[in-house]
Amino acid sequence: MPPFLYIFLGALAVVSALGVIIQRNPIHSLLALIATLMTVAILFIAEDAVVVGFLQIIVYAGAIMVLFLFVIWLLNLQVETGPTGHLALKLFGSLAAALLVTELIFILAPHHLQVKFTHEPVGYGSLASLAGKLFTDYLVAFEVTSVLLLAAVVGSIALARRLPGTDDPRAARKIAS
Amino acid sequence: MPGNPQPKFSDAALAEYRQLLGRYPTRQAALLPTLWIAQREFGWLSDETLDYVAHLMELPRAHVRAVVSFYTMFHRKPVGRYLLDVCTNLSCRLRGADKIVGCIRRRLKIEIGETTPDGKFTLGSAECMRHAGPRRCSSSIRTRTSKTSPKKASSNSSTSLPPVTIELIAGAIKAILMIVTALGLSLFLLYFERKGSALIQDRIGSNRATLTGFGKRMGMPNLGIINTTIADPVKMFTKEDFIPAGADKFLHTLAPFLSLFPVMITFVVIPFGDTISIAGHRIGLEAANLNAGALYLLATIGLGVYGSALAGWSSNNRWALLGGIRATAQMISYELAMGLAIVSVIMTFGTLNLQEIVRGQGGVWFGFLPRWAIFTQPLAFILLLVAGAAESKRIPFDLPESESELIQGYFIEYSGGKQAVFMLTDFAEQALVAMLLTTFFLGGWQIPWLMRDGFHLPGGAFLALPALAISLMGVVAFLVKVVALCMFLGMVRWTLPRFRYDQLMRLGWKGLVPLGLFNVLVTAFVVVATGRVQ
Repeated sequence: MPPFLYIFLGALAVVSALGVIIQRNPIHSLLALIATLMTVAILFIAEDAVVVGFLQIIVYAGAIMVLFLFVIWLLNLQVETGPTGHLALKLFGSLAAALLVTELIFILAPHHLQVKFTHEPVGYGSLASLAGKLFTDYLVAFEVTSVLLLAAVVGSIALARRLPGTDDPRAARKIAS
Repeated sequence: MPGNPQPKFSDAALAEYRQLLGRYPTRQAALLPTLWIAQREFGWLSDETLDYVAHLMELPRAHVRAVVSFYTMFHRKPVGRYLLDVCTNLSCRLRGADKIVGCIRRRLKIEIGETTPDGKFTLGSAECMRHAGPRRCSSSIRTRTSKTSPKKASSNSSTSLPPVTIELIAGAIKAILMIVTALGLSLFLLYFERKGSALIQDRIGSNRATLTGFGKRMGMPNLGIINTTIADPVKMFTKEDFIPAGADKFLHTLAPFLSLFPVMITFVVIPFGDTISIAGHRIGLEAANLNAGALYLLATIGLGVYGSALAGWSSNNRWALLGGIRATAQMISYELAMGLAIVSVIMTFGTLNLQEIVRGQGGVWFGFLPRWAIFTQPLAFILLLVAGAAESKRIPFDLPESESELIQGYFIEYSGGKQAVFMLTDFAEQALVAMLLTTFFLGGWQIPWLMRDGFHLPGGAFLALPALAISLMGVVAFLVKVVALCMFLGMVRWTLPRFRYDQLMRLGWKGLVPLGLFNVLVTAFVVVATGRVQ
């Protein structure tokens, strides 16, 4: 990837990531998040991780962000008008942010940055290489994850289900337990 | 195609090979040109490819290997797109060949025999073709260098390489062609929407639009297609662009374009013709030949949902919002079925590249039946047809706009040009669905019984045709299939009534998705059982 493209996309990703936390309107924040995901996906694709890049767009930008959109609509989140939260929250927030920045400074210190670039073999990042790894080296983790997701889906349906004759989902939960 | 364990010539290459055999006295003599075909097909000659060629030509493996190892222009390792061969014998070195090699090594950071990580350049060494004398030698370096241009590599930019420039220009032309085709199809669909629906529903349809209203009164003839296709856009773009009070102005303006953009960029991966040769350059007739084309397609189609969702939300109108929510839920539900249908086709052909999928549909079964995927994957065809109609939000899936309860749904608050952009999106989506069905199931640009050299009719009759004519016929065939499918989708629209929302969701989640999963499972079994798994 040419350096200017990397710098341009990286700057775009950072600016849109900032937009996520600076925007007061939740929908605008969501759009900024989609823009961040898209630019990172393009960075992936430019670095030959084609499948990861496209999967990021399909799964995150195309599906999960739509769910975020639904949640924002259904919770009827409004535009933030002023600062919110307790003093203690702000204090802890600042502390956590300071910790994170210190950590980043340590990680990005020059002596850590002597990254060695290696030449990836031809076909690196293709669907075949990814699938090969998933279905050989990481088969157990892959299958266990799918079972986990299935359990999560069944669980959430069981929790949200309304039995006939009851309006209250909590009643269904009691019966289920 | 590195490490392709089971190489196999495409039908076109096979036809070429058979033609070759007739030209040479013995099989041994035809080995060199056949190896050229193999190298062109697979990029390089792996051991498996050599075995395949040996098997195909009924020659001993050792013989094939001996020939390949003798000639330096056969690549036994994967090579980049551009091969930089620099002569390194003594006389060329004296004329500065070392400097050229050093320059390439510095710029591309590769050694002789290596390939750049982006797969673009391979540096090789060669012996000059012309040993006549030092002068000739140096000129031979120059012609080689100018052909593969390491000189340009030293002057900073790889985009100024002549082949790349030609590729860029060709790419731009193809992209513009594709967009113009999409817009043209949309115009045709607009006309078909007005007059075709009237024909089916036994009405006259729009008949008042003439070039000037004055002309109509003066008895000017009705100009048919021109009237509607000009009058509609002109009317829309001259109307007031209205933004309701309390609307999110930025998103309200962005939304129509956010819904048009993903559809338009999806067209670039659709192959509309075979590779053609113009002035020695081989140009593939698709705007972008992506190896992960099918993934790209799913990604861009998945992004289309934001246009209608945000249009509904930003209008500050509860019917618009309801329409937006309906559109969003409908599109993410049917995307799944669409993805599953496409996955089974991908499994059938073992590639994500759309051009390869179309190539895989060339040839015939049993001597007469075209190898179109609709015959192997009929269920997936129906799935994609239904899911595609639902994705483009047309009747019977037009619940997001259902005028009887939501008035116009998510674009209720749009007028003028932005409304026109939403309409354009609808038509372009319909054209896109038709193109997807054509590419995945109806053989794309393939014409039944037409091969690289002409028609091979089922009865054994043969009609030879020039290569360029065959390529152009492919493009026309693609367009004919797309238009026919568009009209079919249109007829479905004007025949069926609208679904209820619960019926829509039940069809999507309890009908199409399980069927799609079942189809993927069966396809997987068949692919493994027939031993085509890689």
